[in-house]
Amino acid sequence: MVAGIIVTHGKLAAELLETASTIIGEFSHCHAVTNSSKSPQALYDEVHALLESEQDRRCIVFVDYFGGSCSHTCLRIEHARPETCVISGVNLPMLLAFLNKRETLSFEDLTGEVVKRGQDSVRILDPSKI
Amino acid sequence: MPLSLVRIDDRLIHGQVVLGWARLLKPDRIVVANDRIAANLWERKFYTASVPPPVKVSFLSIEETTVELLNNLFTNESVLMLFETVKDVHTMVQKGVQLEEINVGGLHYRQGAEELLPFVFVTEEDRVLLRDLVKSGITLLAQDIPGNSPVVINSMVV
Repeated sequence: MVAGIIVTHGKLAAELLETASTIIGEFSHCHAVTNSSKSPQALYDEVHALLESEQDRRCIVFVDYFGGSCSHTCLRIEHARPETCVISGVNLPMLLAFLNKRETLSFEDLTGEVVKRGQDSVRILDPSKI
Repeated sequence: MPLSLVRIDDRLIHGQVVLGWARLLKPDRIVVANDRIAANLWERKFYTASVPPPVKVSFLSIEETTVELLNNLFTNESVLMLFETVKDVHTMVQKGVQLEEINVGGLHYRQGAEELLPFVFVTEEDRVLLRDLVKSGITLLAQDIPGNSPVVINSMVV
């Protein structure tokens, strides 16, 4: 099973996990981290410690906004630990796809699949084309 | 150089700067004044990628920034200037750069640092350096994003 770490501004990460658990039930090896009130170093240390705690598994780190401090910190971690994969723009469909597929797909297929599901879920809805 | 904002923020370029301050002030250029980043190509590429055009980005060492400011270079552009630490700004002011106001936008908790505001924690060293800046006549305005009210913290560091 691939582990997940969601790193976001405010309470978004914790709420995404909480919301996902109301849809697909309880799960483990998926962690929420906020950048609120943290220095870049403190955030780095926290994410790094979680990666260490999951060192028996491959890990995907999700961040909310490319260009923000969460993505900066996680990109820096990926630079130091290339086996980690960082994906930006985390949303609920992406997270659900991750939780559903992480036990069956290979790591490379999983990263592609969650990005695709996240992107495909962003669309302008048109009732006439349903 | 018309400096539209001089900001101390341990995160340097990030959402509050790009979506908050740069959207309001519309600078021509963001200058990151930082020795470590100026000397590291990967760090420079990494920060550049997070700034949407047409805003330009430069990475200068503290020494280069000091020289540019003392010689009034960049005069045709409005500049938003970022520092990671109090020490870096202090070094520049000690060398003769004159500033009226510094935006203190983010100094987060570090070992031994004391809280002035939820986004401003200062170590004893910071406090000494900030006191020096206040003595040079600089107003220290703590303000994370433009929508929140600025707080003058001069009296908190003396």
